[in-house]
Amino acid sequence: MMKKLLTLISVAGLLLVIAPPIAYLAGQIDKTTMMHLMLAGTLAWFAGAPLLAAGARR
Amino acid sequence: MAEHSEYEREPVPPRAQLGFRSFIGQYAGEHTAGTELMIGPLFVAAGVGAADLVLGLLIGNLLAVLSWSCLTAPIATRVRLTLYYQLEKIAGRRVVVFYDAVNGIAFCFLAGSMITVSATALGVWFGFPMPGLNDLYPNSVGWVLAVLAIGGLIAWVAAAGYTVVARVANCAAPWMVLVFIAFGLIGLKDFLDATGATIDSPADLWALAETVIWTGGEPLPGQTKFTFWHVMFFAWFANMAMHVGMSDLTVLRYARRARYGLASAAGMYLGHFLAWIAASILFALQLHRDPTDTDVLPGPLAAGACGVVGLLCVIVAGWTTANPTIYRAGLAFQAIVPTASRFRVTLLTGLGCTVAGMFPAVAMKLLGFVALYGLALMPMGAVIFCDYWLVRRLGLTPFYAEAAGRDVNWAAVLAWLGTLVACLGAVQLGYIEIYFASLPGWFIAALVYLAASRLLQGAARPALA
Repeated sequence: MMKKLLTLISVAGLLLVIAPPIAYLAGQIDKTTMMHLMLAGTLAWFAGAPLLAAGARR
Repeated sequence: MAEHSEYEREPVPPRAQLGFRSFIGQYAGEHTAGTELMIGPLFVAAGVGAADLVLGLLIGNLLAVLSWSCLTAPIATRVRLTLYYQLEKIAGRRVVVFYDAVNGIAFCFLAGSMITVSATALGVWFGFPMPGLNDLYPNSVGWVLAVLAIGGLIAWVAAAGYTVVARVANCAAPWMVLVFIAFGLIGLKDFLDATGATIDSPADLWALAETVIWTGGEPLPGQTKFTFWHVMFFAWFANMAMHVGMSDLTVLRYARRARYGLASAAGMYLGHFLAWIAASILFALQLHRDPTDTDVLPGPLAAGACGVVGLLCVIVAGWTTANPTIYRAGLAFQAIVPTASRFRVTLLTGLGCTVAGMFPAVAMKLLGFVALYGLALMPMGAVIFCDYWLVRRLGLTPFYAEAAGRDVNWAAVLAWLGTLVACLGAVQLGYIEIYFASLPGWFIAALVYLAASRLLQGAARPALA
């Protein structure tokens, strides 16, 4: 259960890093919103991925 | 890579060999580094044109992948020894010590430029003056303190053992690749806004690339003009020490099959294609907005594109790649003085890298330095190639230093130093540019090694028998 949750957080984090620049390029969001979403994605990725990796090592 | 043993003086056994995916991850992470944020902009500073850049990178990176696959991996998977041990058997212990010193010094300058890249992110936060494109020396106290702070921290972590940083690096790699791609997308959108252009088809995108982004005009003052050939050879030889120079024998000896050398494509096309292009778009945008702003500073470039995430990417990219580089340099120097403490040697090495990082000349001339680094270590790759594939066919003894019980195989020394003298002499006299010198250099090294081996082994044959 925890592994699935961490995987979800990590994948969502990566999507939030790459999707906003694509939306920005398409003219659908402004730059400030894009930066906030990318920061949220970065935090999600670094919250989920290390724990997921630590679980895989164990 | 192996859990309990690094197999430093024995072939990697089958149980420790790794699958294709391990190498994809390793190459993708290793070649998406802080220095990519310098190299991309330096292409623009060199006045490269769009077609020259894209075609040059496509073909040059393909040649690099083929070099790993056809030169390094076949020997690595047949012999399964580290570069150092194989070189010791061929060239002798003393030559390896000298090779270690050259390698260690080159690593120091590379790590120094990575520290420089990270320090430019601090400049955005603290607002101190940062070096310009043609600066050779540090230009502000703030800059020196920033490099000292980042370099000191990296040196200490590398000395303490960089397991944690290696884990952070592994976690950061997918995120970093996406942020690099984001740089390109954001830069492209900002270009569209700045020029008022629209993109409705691939032809529109190409027109924008040719006429606004990579215009192919004169290089910036103090920079060499880059053509298709410069880009292609640079992309091919950027990691020359690793493929043609055989440094990655140490990595690929763990590969189950020689074709796993193709995994290097992940590093080349993510790091040395997408990341270079993305970083170059950001710098081209800076020049488009203000042609007098020629400073190549990854921190401000990244912050302008995506704010805090961009700055974090610059710091993480510089840090995670400088750390293993300092660690490797420390190991190279420690091999020269095996009795010295690894902690102290690595810490001193890191401090040396930090001092190098204070001088922007290294990072701002990174294109030339990378070419020189490859050239300096390439001749030993030619020696290893000839020793494995040709020496026995010519009736000579491979692994000659080991077979003859010698500390120095003068054929290898002559091949190395003779090639360097010939190539650097030709560069100094203006016959050839440093970016191209390694190609004829490889053939010179091979011919000198075979001819000198014939002479030396012919003279020593009675003694060997």
